[in-house]
Amino acid sequence: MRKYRADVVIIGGGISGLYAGYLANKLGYDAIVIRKGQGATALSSGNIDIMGYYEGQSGWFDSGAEGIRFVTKRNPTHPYSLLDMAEGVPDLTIEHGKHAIMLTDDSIKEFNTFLGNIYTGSIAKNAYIGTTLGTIKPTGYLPFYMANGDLSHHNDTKIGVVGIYGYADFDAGYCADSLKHFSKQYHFGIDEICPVTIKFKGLTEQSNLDPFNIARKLEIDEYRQKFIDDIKTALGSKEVTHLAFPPILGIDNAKVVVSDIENELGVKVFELASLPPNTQGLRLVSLMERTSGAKIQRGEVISFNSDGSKIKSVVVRDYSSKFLFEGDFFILATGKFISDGIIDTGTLKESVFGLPVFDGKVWVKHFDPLKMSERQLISPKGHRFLRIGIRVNYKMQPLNDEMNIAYENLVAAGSVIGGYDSAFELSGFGVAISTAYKAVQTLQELRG
Amino acid sequence: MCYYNSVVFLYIKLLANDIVQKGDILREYDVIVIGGGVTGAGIARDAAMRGFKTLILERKDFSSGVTGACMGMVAGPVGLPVEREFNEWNVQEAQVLKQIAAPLMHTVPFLTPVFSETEAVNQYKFLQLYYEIAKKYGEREPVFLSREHALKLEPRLNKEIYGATYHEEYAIDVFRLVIENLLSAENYGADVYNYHEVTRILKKNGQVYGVVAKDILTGNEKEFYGKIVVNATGPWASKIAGLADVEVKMRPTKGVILILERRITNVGLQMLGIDMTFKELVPHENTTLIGPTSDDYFGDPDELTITRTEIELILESLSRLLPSLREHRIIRGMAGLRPLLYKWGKPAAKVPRDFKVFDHEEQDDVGGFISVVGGNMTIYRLMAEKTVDLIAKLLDKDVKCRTHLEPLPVNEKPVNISELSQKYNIPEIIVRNMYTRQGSKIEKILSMIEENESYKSIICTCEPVITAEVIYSLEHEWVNTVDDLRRRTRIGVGPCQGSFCTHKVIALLAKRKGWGPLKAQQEMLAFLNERWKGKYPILSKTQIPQEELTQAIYVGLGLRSINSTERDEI
Repeated sequence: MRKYRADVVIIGGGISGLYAGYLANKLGYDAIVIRKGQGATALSSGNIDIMGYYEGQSGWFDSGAEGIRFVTKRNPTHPYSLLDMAEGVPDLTIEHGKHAIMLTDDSIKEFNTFLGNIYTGSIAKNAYIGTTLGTIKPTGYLPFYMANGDLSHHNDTKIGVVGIYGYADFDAGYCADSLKHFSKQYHFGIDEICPVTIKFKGLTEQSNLDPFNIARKLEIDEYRQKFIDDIKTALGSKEVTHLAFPPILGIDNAKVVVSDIENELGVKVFELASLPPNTQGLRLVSLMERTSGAKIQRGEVISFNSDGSKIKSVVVRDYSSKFLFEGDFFILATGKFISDGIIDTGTLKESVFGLPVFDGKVWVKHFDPLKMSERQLISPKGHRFLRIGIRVNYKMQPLNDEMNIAYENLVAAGSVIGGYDSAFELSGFGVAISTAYKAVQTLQELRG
Repeated sequence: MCYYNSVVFLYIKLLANDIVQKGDILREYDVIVIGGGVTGAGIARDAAMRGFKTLILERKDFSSGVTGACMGMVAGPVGLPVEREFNEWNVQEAQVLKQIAAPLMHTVPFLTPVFSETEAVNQYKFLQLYYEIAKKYGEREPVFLSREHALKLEPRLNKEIYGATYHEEYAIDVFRLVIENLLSAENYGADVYNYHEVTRILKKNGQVYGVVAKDILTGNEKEFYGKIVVNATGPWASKIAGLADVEVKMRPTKGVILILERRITNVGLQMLGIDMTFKELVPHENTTLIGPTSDDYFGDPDELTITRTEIELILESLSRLLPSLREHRIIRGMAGLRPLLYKWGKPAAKVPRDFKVFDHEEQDDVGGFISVVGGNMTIYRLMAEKTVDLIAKLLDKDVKCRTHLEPLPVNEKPVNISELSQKYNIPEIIVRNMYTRQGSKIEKILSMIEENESYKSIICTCEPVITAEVIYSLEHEWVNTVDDLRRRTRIGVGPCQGSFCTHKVIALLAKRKGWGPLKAQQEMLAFLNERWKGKYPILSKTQIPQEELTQAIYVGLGLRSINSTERDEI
């Protein structure tokens, strides 16, 4: 078996793994990211949710900061509450959430620097964006392709929602109606939202179009020009100030696609947050891969070696080859169920190191379906199974079932950590970024 | 005086006509069928074909009760109690179905593996009993396969088997079978309503003369008058009979079926399970069905849930044949109640499956009211025939049953699938799948593409179902919700259970039904919740990631439950 060595071995190549890779690399560590796939990040819509809702609360939060303050007061095992404990115990001299807010704010700003400042937003004010489902959701930071999409900032705007004939994933008419209704309900200052359905004549097929197919075409000058002409025709004499799109505005060259449409048509352009199949998450993963500076190795960690207190190495399999990666530090960023970070094989556990998992309150060894979820798919209480994950201390060090640090040189980041329901809270990227940031801080401390 | 009377009479008649035309209060029928499962649909078709003015009322959607929870197996010789007459009916009716509903049916090759020679002999003898009947209809003889041959056919079988009996059965798309019966009934002048719940049975001087039904979608109550009211409500038969103050005694048994994410075997498998009742594994469309269980059930038919024990009973039983079974993802569980006749002294699995048509005039001195109880899906047509025979007798009309002679709309003429696939440039698998649901109607459906090429787009990527079929169904098949559309077209039943198609279907429905955004969102939630009902009790292992994804999609994109002010607005 071939042997490799790195200062920091990061397991998992989603948002928290790649960001941790960047941070470690920046601090001068030789870092490597081992990943078996793109994880759940590639399925996401790319915006940074910090905190939008909380279980049992009917309304949404006006800001990520408000959400963090709220949760740190009520839920001591939430990752934000752990981040709030600067010294391992709640700091009673200052306001709840203050540390966590500061740390999250710093970490997102650093994340934005890492990606070339493609995000705009603030922890002090949530943005409200439209989705391809026709819903409106609160979020913290918007990537450049959504920057014009904060509907709460619209004033007397006229939005055209662009649909494409033969692209069945997205119905512009339905989406426009729905966004119009909810914008009114939330008192946003939008004057008009109307559908603009175009026939993208540049394509040979006019059915079964998928967003990747259209996005790749739009990165080619000739097709892009045709597409813009088609929009012009469809708009006719209709006056719009903004055009909202499904996730089709290019992949790696999305900036050019967006600015070309804006310049040619004299309108502001944004994409709606979308469900998979979706280019938005792919854009983010692709950009992180190019800029993280860490090495990326494809493969799955199948076992590990330790001396009981420290992890020495992990064994990685890529198809038929096996490698051994030795490291001083290990970062666990394997995600939750979607990416196999947590698995149910009859017993429920973390998949790489076999760490025990909890639901925010108690350890969970067996997945009993009737106790794991609510009877409504979309429940105001969230779902217990979505809160399952490993337990970490305030330094993001995983704990074993005796509540001791599992391994001295192991830290964790992202949704492998339990105790919060990111889908309900809309806190996925916020927790991923801030925990990765804290985890790397801990490495620094441990190195001394 | 005489003159005056006839004028008044004429006036009343005109008034009545007026009301009938407005379609509000006065509705008169020869036959009112309560229950839109396979039996009710079969009765409606038969009655309408014999020239009776017929009405069928279903409180939810067609096939949403026990019909929708069956495995769709036709004339299965194994797993049924050995009652010669009943088996004979089954085999006969399978032949009829082959004639009238061919596109909806397909052959399922079955292996019945055994672990010892004695077992092999018994099993073979048992199947011979079936074959004695089946050979009259030219069905293939069961053969005994050695261990080697059986393993060649199904390599993942337990290597320790002694051998296996091979025979063939038929499966049918029950959802479509019901719709086809209703379409045929409608063609013969029947009125067909789903979402109409019968709340009262109108009775005067011991004579039933109609029903009061609540339109679930609008909340309005309506009266319907009929000479004969038929109670074909399966497990709810006792409850409906109670509305007419008569008793129908039943012994409902609960059956649970689990659905795996894809076809995991080449052939169907069956065996005596851990509880000595037959368990089957059937490849079904793009999924695999495993089950059923059979237990007494005395609770509310509307409150069926699936227990861990039932899941284990099925998995433990069939794992003996297919040791890798537990590695597969269970995407859903279904529970249904077999509406069996009351029987003392038999264990649940052995309760006879024969049926009875109750003439309540004879039995309880309540005229104009009939209940039909028992039987199974395969013999639905026969049950309908016997029921309508009684109706004809009561109404004193000498008309014979023709439901076995005339094909259902699905099988009206042969179509060339390959040709259509080439003509419209659609993969043959899509056209073939559509044919198994819509049969000869696919020509009409595909021709919609000529007007609108985007109708070729696949809506459900799991199955796959194209837009044209969804729209056709929406416009012709009593569709009110996404869930109705699922029963018509199989959208949302594949491995993703609607995660990737619900929003697309909602958009199509909203446009055609004129739903506002809130109503559309409510319907989206309703469908996702309906899917969830079959998923949360079985959630485990590799199904957990799928549910995390569904949550990330819908909840993560800001979809929240409708609050009370919003509900008022709708």
